[in-house]
Amino acid sequence: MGKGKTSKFFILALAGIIGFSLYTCFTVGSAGAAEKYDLVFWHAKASHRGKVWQKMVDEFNKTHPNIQVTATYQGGYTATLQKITTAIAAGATPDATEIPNRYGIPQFAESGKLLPLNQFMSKKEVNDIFEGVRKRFTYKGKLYAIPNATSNSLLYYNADAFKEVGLDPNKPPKDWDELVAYAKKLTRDLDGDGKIDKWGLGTHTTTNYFLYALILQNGGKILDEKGNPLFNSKKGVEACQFWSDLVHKHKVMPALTHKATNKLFVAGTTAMMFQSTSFLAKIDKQIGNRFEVRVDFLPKKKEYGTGLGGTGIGIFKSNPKREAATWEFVKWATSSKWAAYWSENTGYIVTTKSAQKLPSHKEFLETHPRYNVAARQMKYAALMPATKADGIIYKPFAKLAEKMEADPNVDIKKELDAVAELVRKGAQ
Amino acid sequence: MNQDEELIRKYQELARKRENRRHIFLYVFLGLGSAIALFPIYWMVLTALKPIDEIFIYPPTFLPSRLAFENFVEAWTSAPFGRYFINSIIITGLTTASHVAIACLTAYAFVALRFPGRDVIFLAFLGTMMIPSVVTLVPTFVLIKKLNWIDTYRGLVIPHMVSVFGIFLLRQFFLTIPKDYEDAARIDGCGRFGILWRMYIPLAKPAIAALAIFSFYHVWNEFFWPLVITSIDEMRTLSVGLRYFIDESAVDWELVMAGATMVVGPVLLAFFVAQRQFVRGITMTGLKA
Amino acid sequence: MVNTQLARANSSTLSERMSLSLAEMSLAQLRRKKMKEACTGYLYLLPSITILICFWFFPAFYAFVISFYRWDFMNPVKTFVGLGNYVSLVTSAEFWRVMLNTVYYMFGSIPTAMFLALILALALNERIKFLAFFRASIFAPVISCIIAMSAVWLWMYDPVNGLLNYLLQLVGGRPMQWLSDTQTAMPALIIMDIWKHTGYDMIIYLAGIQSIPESYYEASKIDGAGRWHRFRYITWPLLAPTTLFILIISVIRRFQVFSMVHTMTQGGPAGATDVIVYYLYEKAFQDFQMGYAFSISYILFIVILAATLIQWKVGAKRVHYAR
Repeated sequence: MGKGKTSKFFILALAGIIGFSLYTCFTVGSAGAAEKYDLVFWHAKASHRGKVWQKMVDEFNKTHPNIQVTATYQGGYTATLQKITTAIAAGATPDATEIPNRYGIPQFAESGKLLPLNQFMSKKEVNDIFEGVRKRFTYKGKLYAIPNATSNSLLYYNADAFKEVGLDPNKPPKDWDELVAYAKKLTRDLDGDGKIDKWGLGTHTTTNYFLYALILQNGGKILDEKGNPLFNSKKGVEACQFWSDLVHKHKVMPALTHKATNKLFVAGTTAMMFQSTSFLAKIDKQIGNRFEVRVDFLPKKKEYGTGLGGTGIGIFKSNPKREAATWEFVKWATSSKWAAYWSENTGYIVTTKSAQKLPSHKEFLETHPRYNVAARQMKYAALMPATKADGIIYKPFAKLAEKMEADPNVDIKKELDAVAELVRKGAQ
Repeated sequence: MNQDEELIRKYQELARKRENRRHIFLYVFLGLGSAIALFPIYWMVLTALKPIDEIFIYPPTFLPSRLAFENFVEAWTSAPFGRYFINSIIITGLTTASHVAIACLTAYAFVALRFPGRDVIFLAFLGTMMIPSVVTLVPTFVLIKKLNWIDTYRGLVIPHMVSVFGIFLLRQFFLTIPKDYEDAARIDGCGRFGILWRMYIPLAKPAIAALAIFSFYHVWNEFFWPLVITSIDEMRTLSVGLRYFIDESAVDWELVMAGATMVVGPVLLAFFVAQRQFVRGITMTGLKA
Repeated sequence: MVNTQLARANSSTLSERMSLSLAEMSLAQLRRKKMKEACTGYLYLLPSITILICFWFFPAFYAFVISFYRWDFMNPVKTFVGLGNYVSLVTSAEFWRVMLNTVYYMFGSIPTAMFLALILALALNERIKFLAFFRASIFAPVISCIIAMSAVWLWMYDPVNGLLNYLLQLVGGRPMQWLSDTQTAMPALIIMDIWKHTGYDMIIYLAGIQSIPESYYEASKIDGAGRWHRFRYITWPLLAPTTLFILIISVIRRFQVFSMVHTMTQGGPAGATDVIVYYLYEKAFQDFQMGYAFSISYILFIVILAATLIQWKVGAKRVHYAR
């Protein structure tokens, strides 16, 4: 039998290993190199689009030998927002990152770690960015991120299905009434078993964006410049009621099936859908030749309107020289030439007037009518500067959509007032 | 005596028939259970092997028209799955080894050694299982940043080197070993560590095997911690890589299923092969509180 | 403790004095031995305690402190609110709603999974062919990565084109809305939970059953006991410690359900599957209310602790140990 000495040795060895690991980690971070910068850039673009980013970054690295950028995917928009939060909390921020426009800008800005970008840009350059999308990244008058990938919501429709029920695919529904009429024709029970086999309209999971869009289309507003609620007006209630009617009164939209919307549309089960422009790039692959897909503006009521999705690139504070180098990268990536390149390869929309005026991009839009539709709808986009209210209304609106779809008798005014109350309480 | 033999034979035949009937019933029951258990996994593999335009048609097909291996190829190349796999292996291996080693030591201390506060400390250990890990996520991350362990194997492994469940499991098992064994070992001249090394551990081999497998699949499938602590692709694990596939705005279903198969596959295969040891291990743990 | 000095003072004979000195010596030896044992004990605990203190207790304590503040972890300014978070939490309807959802989830999944696990384990205890295959198959869901399986189940639960509805219709049933209906969403999650965890409980039950000595059964067979009789009076009582173990672990783990909700329903539809930890997560990462989120976790901790202690106490009275 062994003696007690082996035990001590074993324990001490284990403790030693742990201690050694702990010790080796207390090395001081390496100091910055002389004039060469190794920058870390985070983005939220997956697979195919991530590859486009990589191509751009590789190109930048080739042409800027003293500034080398490493780009890493951090997950989808929600995951990236989480990562940014924990990074700021721990002081582990990258040099630059894509920031989804959903919510969080005010908190990130107030942390003091995000760099206001106005110091790098002239007024002309700032105003070159489309107002709706620029406002999303502006907090208390300062611009905290440059929009680099913007999407809005489109009406996708199955041209073959239109023809099947006698509708003209060259005349997609222009307003709410036409939308309902068309959808009714397209919603069919093919085999008479009482179960609807083909639906007229499906909507993607971003239901809150669609509610915002409906409110805008009805002539209402969502928030004012300071973030005070304007959505619980009569116009707001009407807009939400329309959503509820689509499910319960007109019965053209299946309730609570948003996650499956893509699948259903691609399978030909749903004839129309509200979906982001970013889906354009995927359609052809998933549908192939089975039917023809076209897009148009979201139908209007009093006017056209759409929410905005996408990201902007923000820079974190470090030291002036490093920040300047990072700005070089961001400026390059959002310049007209590369913004157009990005848009043409991913389906996102360019965000500056000069990029839109670029001859090569104009040509692209002309030869790709679907992308053109998205670009033209930009001027009807919501104007909402970043405020803390964004985060407060985000989930409640999605929940409201779900509540309405689950129950036709929901008191919409009461619900909207409750959300408005949350905003008032939270904006302290 | 012919009549008696006749009777005995008849009785045995009846008993066998009843036994067979029971067995058939058991087979059906267990077969159904297995089918239900395996069905989603089968569906995952099936979808991964279907060509992309076949995935979305309705009604769905139960056999692929052809084996679309290109899904796997594309999934594999969409993200550095090879790297993810290596990371997962390294981290899971290190963490599992540490779980076992530390559980042995700690459980032994709780069972065979007496020291003030022993039970209180054990309860404190148990308490760690009662707070969701989402809570310690951010504060631990802040700590890891201060130690400069972000994007390192250290950061992925060390915070999780202790498995309180493992300590609990082994403690329960050690409690079933009669004290006389220990006294006998002591008389033979074994020191404290000797008793652990030469007596408890060999007796507990099945329980240790069980712990190893529990730890393995738990760490292999772990998602939140690697997600938070890695910001560069080279350090990511399979589960994180898979999650990234499940992009929020548009889902590449064929890739998702191919990726899912690649993540679930190895663990399932390893388990089917090693399950005998595993079950023996749990069996012999004699779960007395 | 022997008062040796007093004894010495009062002793007279040499032999008495000698035996007292011997007693003193062994007492001192005993004390030294006890200290040595204690030191060894602490030494053996060192690795786990160090790691747990650094990476668990310390961050948890930090989170506890933050629960008394209003803070988003990013802003340089923290606002102290004392028990404010706890008070608003306990008085908010939201919190009780998610608590109710979580309890609903637990009551739906735990008894069913345990029951199924028990009968499966009993079935597997027989001598039949393909035992290993059945056992491994039923355990397979446990080790499958939940993220991977969530994608598959989402597909199966699709209310329009989904597989489950298709299969239901094949056998003449009506299609269900599953995750798309506030009434059926939680049951749908419960079903998935049962699918995933029954194998785990089953394996542990199997262990418990197989550790019951054959002799008990043989004795009862001789006495003419039937199957049901044997189960009710031998198997079930002797399985009580195992049942208690599974119950306690199940309650602790199910209270903290998160990944499934996070990947499948995100708390929807309309909050039907909003469980405590998911609510916590949203408060932390979407509303940026870290302090509030941490107070949720500490209240949850107290609830789980209370539940565990209750089960332990009740169990101690009714469970008989073979030790």
